Amino acid sequence: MSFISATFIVFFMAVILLYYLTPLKYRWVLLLIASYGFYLSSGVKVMLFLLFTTAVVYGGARWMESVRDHAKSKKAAKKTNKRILLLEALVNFGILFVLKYYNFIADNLNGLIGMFKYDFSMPLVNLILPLGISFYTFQAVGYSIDVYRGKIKAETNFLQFALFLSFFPQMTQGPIFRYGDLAPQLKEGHKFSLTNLKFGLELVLWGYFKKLVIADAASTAVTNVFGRYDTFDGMQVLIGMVLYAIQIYADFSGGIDMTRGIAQAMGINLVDNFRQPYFGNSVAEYWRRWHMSMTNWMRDYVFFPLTFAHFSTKIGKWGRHHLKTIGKQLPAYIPTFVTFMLIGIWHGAGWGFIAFGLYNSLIIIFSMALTPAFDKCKSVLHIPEEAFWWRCFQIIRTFAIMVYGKTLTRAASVHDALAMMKATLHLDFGMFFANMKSELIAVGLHGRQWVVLTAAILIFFTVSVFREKGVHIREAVSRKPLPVRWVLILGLLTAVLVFGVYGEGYSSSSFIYRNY
Amino acid sequence: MEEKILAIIKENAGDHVDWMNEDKIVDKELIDSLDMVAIIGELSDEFDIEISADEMTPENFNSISAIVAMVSRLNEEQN
Repeated sequence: MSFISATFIVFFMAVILLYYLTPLKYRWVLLLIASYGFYLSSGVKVMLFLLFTTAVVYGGARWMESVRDHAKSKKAAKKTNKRILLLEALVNFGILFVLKYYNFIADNLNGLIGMFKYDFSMPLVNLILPLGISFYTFQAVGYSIDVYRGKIKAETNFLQFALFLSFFPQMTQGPIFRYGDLAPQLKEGHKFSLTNLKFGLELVLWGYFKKLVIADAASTAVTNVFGRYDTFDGMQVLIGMVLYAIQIYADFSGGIDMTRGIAQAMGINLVDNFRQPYFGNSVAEYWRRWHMSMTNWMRDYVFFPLTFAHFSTKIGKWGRHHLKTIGKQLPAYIPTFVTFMLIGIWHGAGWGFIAFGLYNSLIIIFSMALTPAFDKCKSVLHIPEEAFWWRCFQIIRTFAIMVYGKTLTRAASVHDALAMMKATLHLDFGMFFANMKSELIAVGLHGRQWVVLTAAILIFFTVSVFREKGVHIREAVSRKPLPVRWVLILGLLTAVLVFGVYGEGYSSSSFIYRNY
Repeated sequence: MEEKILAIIKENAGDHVDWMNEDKIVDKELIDSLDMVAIIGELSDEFDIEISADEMTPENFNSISAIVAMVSRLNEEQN
């Protein structure tokens, strides 16, 4: 059941209504039934994978707790629990790895074997990819690690644990929640609140606006440019690449807004997954603002454990004695590299995703290594760190780096991505501005569509600027006089209906992150 | 324990500060995040404890006594 369907709208409205009609104590049961009903709509077979992960992780956590309660010493318990945790992680990541990456690895190995003319090839298999598997697997393993670390108690109620891993608004594209942030809210029955219902539905509407009016409109031009980039000039290719960066942000954050909005309508407050990522002043800062639930997961369960590991300490000691600034940074390089490679691979099976991981890790590592030199340059050139123009320069620089990086994940191959990047080295501004109308139309959208898309992006940008300044948009809107509020909400609804759902040549596409 | 922690801090962040009497080590930025990471790695090795990122707070690292308290607590919880 797609988020972008009348069926889903009827479904979630019915769930919200039934949620408040159900006695407080049993509201979590309704959520569980709704969540499994939603998941079932994507297939019966895929549900078995979800059930298996739920059972394994639930049982593993209970086992760890039992070991901790009955072991002779804390040290012995820790040793046994480490093994249980490793087994659990291996099983869950193993399933994800086989379903998501087996064909990619087999295909590449076959190519390699073919080069040596051996008469052997690994079979390619038609594997199913259960809905949200990347998200619920990471959420499940994160829960296991927290139980292992003693940060949370293992859930004793299997059905409530099943709800934690299957909450329907987050099954399409996350976010990835920590147990402590989500489970208590799901278990607790929330009393009806008009403010929550209103704010939640407003957020859902805003999500639809981003998805339907921005992302899906941009998608037409993006598909066109990425599909036959060699027929476009440098400016058009660059426009396609920039539009893709906007599309994926509007698409993903729009979907997350819908998720958070539906949850909020039932009194469940989910932390946001984005903090204006394109306003980040560096690539590292961008990653602290983009898909925060995933980057936080990587930080807590991959980056820091690797950074604090014995081998990192040894490398650090050696570095401090033999090298200067770089020596001090050495222990952070390997974890940074591993983390960003994993982030790249997490997004999908393909060389483009691996290249994307490499691209980000190298940029961040070089930025760290060159920080002293940059600082010296800034001091010599008297660049004031807080100056508005300097901040704008940093933001544009980061955005440009991400536009090029994301091209690696969208192009059909790394070769195509590099060819597109090369095309943008030849920008004929004179020709473009002289024939702007025909140049833009050739990209794939006609005049009116460009006007609507540009206006929608400007609205999105303005809202982002306010959010960056700390303004809580919905609270601010709720303080406006009633006519102003209605104009704003009806305007948004009209835009979604007129330019999104009933727009010329409109066809809804599924969420990009649904495939990750 | 205090002596061992002091030695680890001196080794990683230098001995230009009177670490024993300083109670705003992080607030005054006398150690940066890379120093803290190195110190955590060595504390983990030395005292056989796991220090998670959640412990990387100014409250735990602003003074030698705060670090001693954190190490003792984690030691008690884990060993």
